[in-house]
Amino acid sequence: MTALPGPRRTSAEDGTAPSADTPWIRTRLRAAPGAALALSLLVLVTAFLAAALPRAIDVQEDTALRDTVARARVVDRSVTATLDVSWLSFPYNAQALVTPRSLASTEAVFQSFVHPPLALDRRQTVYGVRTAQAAPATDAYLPRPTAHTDPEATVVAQPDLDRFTHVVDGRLPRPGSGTGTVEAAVTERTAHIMHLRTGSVVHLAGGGEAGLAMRITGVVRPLHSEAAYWNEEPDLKAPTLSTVPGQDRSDPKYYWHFTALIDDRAAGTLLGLREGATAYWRHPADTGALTARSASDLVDRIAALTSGPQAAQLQQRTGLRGITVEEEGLATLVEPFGQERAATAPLVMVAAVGVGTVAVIVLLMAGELAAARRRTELVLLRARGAGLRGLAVRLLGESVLTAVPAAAVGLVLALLLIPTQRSAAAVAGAGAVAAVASLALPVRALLAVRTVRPGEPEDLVRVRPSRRRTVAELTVVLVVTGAVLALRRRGTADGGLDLLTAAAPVLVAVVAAVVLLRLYPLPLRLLARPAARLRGAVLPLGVARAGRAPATATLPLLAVLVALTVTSFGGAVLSGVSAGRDRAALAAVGADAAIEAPAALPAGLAERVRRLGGVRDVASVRIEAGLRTDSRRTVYDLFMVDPRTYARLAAATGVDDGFPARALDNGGAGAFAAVVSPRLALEFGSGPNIVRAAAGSFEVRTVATRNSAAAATAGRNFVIVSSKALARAHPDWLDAGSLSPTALYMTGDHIDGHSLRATAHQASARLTVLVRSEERAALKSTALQSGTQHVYLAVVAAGGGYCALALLLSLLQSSPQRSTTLARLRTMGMQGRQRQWLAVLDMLPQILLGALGGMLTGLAVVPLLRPGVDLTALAFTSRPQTADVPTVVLDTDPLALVLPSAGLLAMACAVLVAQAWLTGRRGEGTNLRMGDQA
Amino acid sequence: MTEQTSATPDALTLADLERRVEQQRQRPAHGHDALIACDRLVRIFAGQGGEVQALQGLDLLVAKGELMALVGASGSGKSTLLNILAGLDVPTAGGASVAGFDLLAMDSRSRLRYRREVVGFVWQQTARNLLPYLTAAQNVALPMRLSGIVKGRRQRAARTAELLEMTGVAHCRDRRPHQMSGGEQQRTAIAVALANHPALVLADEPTGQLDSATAEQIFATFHTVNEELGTTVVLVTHDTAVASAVHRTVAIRDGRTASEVLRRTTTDDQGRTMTTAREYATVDRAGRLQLPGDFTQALEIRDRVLLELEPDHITVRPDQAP
Repeated sequence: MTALPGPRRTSAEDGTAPSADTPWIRTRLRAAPGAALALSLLVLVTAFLAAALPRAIDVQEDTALRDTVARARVVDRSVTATLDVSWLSFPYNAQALVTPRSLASTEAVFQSFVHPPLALDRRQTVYGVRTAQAAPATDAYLPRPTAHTDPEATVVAQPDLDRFTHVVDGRLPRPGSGTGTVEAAVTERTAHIMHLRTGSVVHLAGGGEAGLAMRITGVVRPLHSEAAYWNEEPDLKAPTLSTVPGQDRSDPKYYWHFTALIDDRAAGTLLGLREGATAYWRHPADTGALTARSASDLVDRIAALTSGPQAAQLQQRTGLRGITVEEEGLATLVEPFGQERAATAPLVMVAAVGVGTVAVIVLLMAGELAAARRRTELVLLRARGAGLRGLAVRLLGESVLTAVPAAAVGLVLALLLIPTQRSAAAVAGAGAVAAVASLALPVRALLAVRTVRPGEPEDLVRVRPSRRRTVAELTVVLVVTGAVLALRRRGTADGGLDLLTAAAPVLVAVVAAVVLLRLYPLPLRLLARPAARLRGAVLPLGVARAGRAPATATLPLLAVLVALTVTSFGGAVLSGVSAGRDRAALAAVGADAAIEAPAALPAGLAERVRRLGGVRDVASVRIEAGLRTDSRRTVYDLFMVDPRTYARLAAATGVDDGFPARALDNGGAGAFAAVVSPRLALEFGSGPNIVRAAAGSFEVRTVATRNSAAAATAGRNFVIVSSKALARAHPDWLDAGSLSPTALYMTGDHIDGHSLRATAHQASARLTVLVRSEERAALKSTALQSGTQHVYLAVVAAGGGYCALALLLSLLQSSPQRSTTLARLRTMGMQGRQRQWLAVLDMLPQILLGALGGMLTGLAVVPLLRPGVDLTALAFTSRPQTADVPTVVLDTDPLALVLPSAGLLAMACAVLVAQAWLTGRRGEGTNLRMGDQA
Repeated sequence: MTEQTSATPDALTLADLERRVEQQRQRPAHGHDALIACDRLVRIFAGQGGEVQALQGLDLLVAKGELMALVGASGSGKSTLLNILAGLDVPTAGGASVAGFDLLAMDSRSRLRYRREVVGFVWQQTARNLLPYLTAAQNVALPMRLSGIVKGRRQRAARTAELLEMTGVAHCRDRRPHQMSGGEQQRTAIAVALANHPALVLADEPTGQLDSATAEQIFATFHTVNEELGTTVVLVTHDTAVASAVHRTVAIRDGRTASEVLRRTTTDDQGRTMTTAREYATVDRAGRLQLPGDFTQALEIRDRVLLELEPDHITVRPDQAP
């Protein structure tokens, strides 16, 4: 076996006999640079996409998390350690504990507990001492909005006062020597509102102790006013107006609460006030270091620090037994993020698997096309004595040289353009692409030239595929169908989505492709006979040609089907989420708009509302909630309705089409007819039961059972009776107003929320107005959800591109044969227009098959994946409270089914017509000669 | 066992039988000194419309150094025979051996060796013989590199030059195939076929796509090759001009060899060379003879003939008594 070639020797070097040795790879690549370049481009783009996808997902998740956390207030995303210091709790060393050095050392100990994923922003860490309770300031010149209510002051000692303030008047406070007095500074706004100046003295009452006299030495302006220094406490920058509820039903009392800043070395003076001081160490989270993957780890770490083993270790190491760590909302911000992420992962996994399959198919098709084009050359090489191993090495060398550098460039581009931490997945993706692209040509070529028989007619168009192929296809179909059935039966046992479920669209597409390819020639062959009797030439020829299925059409059809299935799955998810939100908005409001009152509605409101524009129908309902049955076991809501309007409401909202309005109206002797929920129906039985309403007690008997009722809260039991029947039987109740409605439900297409609210507020200030369109609009996607949708759309678009590429490659594969046929037909006298039609008819059945098959598989995959995909976390930002809310499931989106297929059809037809036109222009001579050499 | 000497010469003794068997065993095997020996070769193709018997028990002996042509109508099986001899196809039944290789029992490794060392092949389409992106010299050097028989760059270069010189296309050595005429391409193809010192060169209609003048050149090249290198050459062709170029032409009909034409050049005592060509009917190992069609039609010979053995010839008479 010869080794791969060495460098070429020039004739000058060699002397008389010029070298005939050829460097194989270089020569081969130079001979067909266009194909090599096209392959490199394809591999580059594919490797880039494969490497970019995991990184893009990471970036998008991290960005969403950081956005969510950064939007919260500083206080809400901090981890705080606090220690109450007073003479009582630390009789011996209270003073020592509030010195700056002690605070700093505790801070250092705390920082030793901070490891990733818990990342706290060191630059924004604030620690200091403040008074444990705000002390009342007794000076008379301070403003008092309510008489005899003293303003309260908090004194805060934080280090680095000079760095964060700009002295406007006076100077910064100094530690001072005496007990009982301390120098302090206030902000401009504080000084302005509290009428303080440089030199003012504020006396703070100690409440039993001697108190503290604060001398204002300066007025400052906050520098870096957005920093955590100023924002960890709510009142550092300006005073706030607080209220205290008045005693004995009098009006609440208002008073100012302001903050004064003292030098951090003077913190010991705070101990003299009531309740002493609180030392605090506040650490805002470093949003820049948060990652979505480690969100649950972060929550665990915080929990360990606040109430877990690390809390005890902290107390031990600092020697301060009272030190506690709290976090004010970081965990609650991060935790639902983890759940959302788990819910969006399936979506992206399905898209990734689907588009990955299509990309692999395209690479394999490229290899197959190259192998088919080079078949004669390879056969010649084999006949001239090339062993399989040598041929494999040469072809592999060619492919590797084309594919691997391109994949490397794609990987580097992805790594550079999308900066994030994890690279392993990206490298693996690009490596897989390079491997597939390198192996496609050698493997396919070797399979083709394993046995060398140049004499056999190479007719690609066989009427019946070989038996071995049939057996293989049957095996594949059986195995895949079994897998899909097992999937369906398994459902959501573990709640998550694994690789098998994510690959379900691909599996369904494989089965569909194999079955469709076998079945579709049959009707065409049946049609060939009657078509042969037609007058023209195009249809009979086209039908006859199309009836002979080429054996190599599986791969492009599979690519088309997978791409279309993944697209329709995405559409199903989006429409499922939208439908879930619609249902939630309807459940929240009950109708298109609702006005609810705690007690009876004001009179005449129903008529006024009915006259508003956009309101079609108004139903008045009296709802009494929380009634109990006789056995005290079941809680239910009582609805007193006007049966006909209520039935219209139920029909309009789609809750119940056949509400038995007439049955309710027949108030028989004694017991009133009622529609109840199933559980109550079981409990009530068939006899009369007593209902104790606010108006009085009456008997009801069940005439119908319904699972849900209009305007009823999901999951609660209900009893619906006719208010008209009650009014007829008990006119005194009607007069007393105990039957008047408490809620109005309006149906209409464009109800204007503003005018509705205006009308309602005109009648009474205590009405709640809900409009369904507003509720629906409020259910927006979070950053993670919309980010995931964008990623999904991008992936699907890439899949569409690859699908189009697969179609182009398959057209390229059959184009020499088609050109020859068309050229021969032209020599026989077929005109241009007819030839173009024939070209379209030639491939049309397969493309139609792809489009229709894609729609079918898209329809089929939705019920298949429905048990496995729960979209609740995608539709809503927080979990619903009750477990009875119907889960948000996949919904078939007709537009996502039809549009991509139609686009595919249009594109394929355009390419075919273009090819036919090009063939016509080129001239038959070239085409016929090309056909001979093929 | 007792030996019996008997007066009657017809009685067979066991000793006689044993002697006969011994003689038969010592007789050299059929075709032992021939390069190609085909013995009742059968090749059946199982197609979709039923079976096709391309070769139906073909016998052929080709000696070393012969320049031979196979002719026949299309469908007579000559291309199949050529494929079998080239190692590209496996016969269904019968025996075929070329240069000591048994073509029925070759595994893939020996088949590879056979293709590299024993056989050189020239196809009809000029474009199929050469790789389009290599020059003529590179094409000739390719089989040498693939098989490793001619080692060393210098040796390969020398041999390439020698072969191109012999086939008369030395001026094309740096041209690509599309820059050469059809005749030049075929001659380069012949040089490629000779690259690995094969014992046998097979050519499937090498002049099919060429005009008659060029065809003559090609045949002349084969002649040169045969004379200078001593390579056995088997041509399959339609071209009647070949008869004047080769020593022996075998006609194949219905999957069997039917007749042969041998060309002999004799020099008479005055130094004049005379070439005589005579057509013979082939007799296979079992003694079967295929009568030419026009003979049988002229005498209306159908099912059976009468044979008479004369001192120096055999008479064949039709069935009907005159």
